[in-house]
Amino acid sequence: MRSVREAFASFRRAPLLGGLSIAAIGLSLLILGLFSLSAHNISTAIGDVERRVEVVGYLLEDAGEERVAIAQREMEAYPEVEGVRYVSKTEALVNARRDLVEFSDVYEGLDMNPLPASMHLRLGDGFRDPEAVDAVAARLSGYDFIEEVRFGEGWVEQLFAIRRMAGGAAAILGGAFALVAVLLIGTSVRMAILARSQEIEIMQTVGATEGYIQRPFLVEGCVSGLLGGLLALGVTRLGYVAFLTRFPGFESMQWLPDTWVVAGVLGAAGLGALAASFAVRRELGKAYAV
Amino acid sequence: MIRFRNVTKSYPRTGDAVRDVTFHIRKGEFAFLTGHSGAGKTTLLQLIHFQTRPSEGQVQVSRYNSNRVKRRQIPDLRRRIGYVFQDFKLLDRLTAAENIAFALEVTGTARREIDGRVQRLLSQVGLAAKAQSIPEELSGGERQRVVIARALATDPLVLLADEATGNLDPRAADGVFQLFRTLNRLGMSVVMATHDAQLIRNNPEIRVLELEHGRLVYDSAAASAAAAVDAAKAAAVSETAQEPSPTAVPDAAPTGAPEPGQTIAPSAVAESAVPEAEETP
Repeated sequence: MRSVREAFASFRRAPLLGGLSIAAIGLSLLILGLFSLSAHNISTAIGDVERRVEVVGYLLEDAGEERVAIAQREMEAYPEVEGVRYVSKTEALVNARRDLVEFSDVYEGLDMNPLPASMHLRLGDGFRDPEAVDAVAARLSGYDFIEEVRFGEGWVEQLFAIRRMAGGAAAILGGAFALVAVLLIGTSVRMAILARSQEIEIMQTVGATEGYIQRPFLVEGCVSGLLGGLLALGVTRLGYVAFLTRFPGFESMQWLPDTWVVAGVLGAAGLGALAASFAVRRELGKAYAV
Repeated sequence: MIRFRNVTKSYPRTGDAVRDVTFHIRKGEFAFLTGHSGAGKTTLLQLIHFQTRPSEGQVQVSRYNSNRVKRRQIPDLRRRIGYVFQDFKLLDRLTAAENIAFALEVTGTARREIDGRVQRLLSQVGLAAKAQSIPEELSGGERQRVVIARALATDPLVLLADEATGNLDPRAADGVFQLFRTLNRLGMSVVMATHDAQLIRNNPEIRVLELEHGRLVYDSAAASAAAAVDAAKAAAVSETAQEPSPTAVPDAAPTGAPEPGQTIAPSAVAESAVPEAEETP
């Protein structure tokens, strides 16, 4: 309780310094928040595209219904496969007429249906990477009634390259801004220690314990991080709302998931405590290093 | 109580601040620590207070040994040692009573006990009437009494005073010194670092430890012990000449006998009656 009281007393004693420090931490975390928002939406968009990744096997004319039905059940048992859809020749033609309007005349004047039947294998979560897709495609090719397998080889790999890049950029930028926040909180705590150096010297002289002396600064770091995190969250939310108002075309843009918000704010508080502990150990550790 | 065994304290840039110092201060003893500026007095007090540790040798204070003490034990040790600074180190925004209460609070005294103990401590140093004065409203002597009261807050066994009278006028300095004497009579060990040669001359019964360039060059207890041994030997020789007898050396050295490895400079013994007279403030 005393630690919390002392931490807030420290803010009251130097409100400008405290405010600047929280604002600076908030700014770092705001950039992190905005980046998280973008990353989340990119990730959601990639996820949507990924969910459309299908491995399609085109059947020979004489495949035989019974064999196809058996194969379909086998394919549904593959661990990578979430679902299998059989598209008959007739269905393929209906789809073609519907989707390829510019060729509708060609499809209208046909005496026979030239389109093959096909098996569409939809892959489950965690199995949409190029390796899993290759493995399923190879297994599908193994059936003798399958004439050809297609799965958009090029763009599956590109999709994963984009995702890797986004992940790497998130890690680097996140790490960089976390470091900036740590340095700012550390500096702020060091200044608070300096402002109370005489009190601290007296405490060390009369025999206060290390924990007693250090706790208020750790709480201060934690509170700075927490307030900075909340500030960043508020401004990010304002930015999100303003963006949607300004660009209504982006209405499908999502807000951050609750778990991200809670983890972000608590993470900021934890980061503050961590930064403060580094500063405290550096500034106050010597007094008891006997 | 306080035992130094071949203690050296070196700093990387300035070299040895204290060099191969050995002495023993017993419980309830009063000792002056003197020497020129930079002789190592403050470092020696810091070694007793475990603010710094020896580069070589060992310091023992009560049951705490510098080579074995654990980090978490340091606060306990410091509560057993009161420290009085020349520059007071009082918190300007707090009253005399609050300055003392601060020491009690940060060392874990129950809140309900603090007021009573502050009043007792202020009465003990003769400042009960000034409880609500801030340091700015107090004279130098009064401020130093507040510092002493603060140092006494944790019931220490030893009081270390680093030039505690150095900034005071003679009357205030005498008042503070008499307070130290009173505390010593009540059983507290006192180590008082001072430049004040007059003070040392006026109190010949108090032990003097003199440092020069970090070395202990004079210990009046060791000198007295050596003189007593010489006198005893001389008496024995004289008695032997008159009436043969097997023994005459005293069977026990007086309080403050020299420690093994103790270095005593004969010149310092000769000069010790007026150490640092030219530096008298």
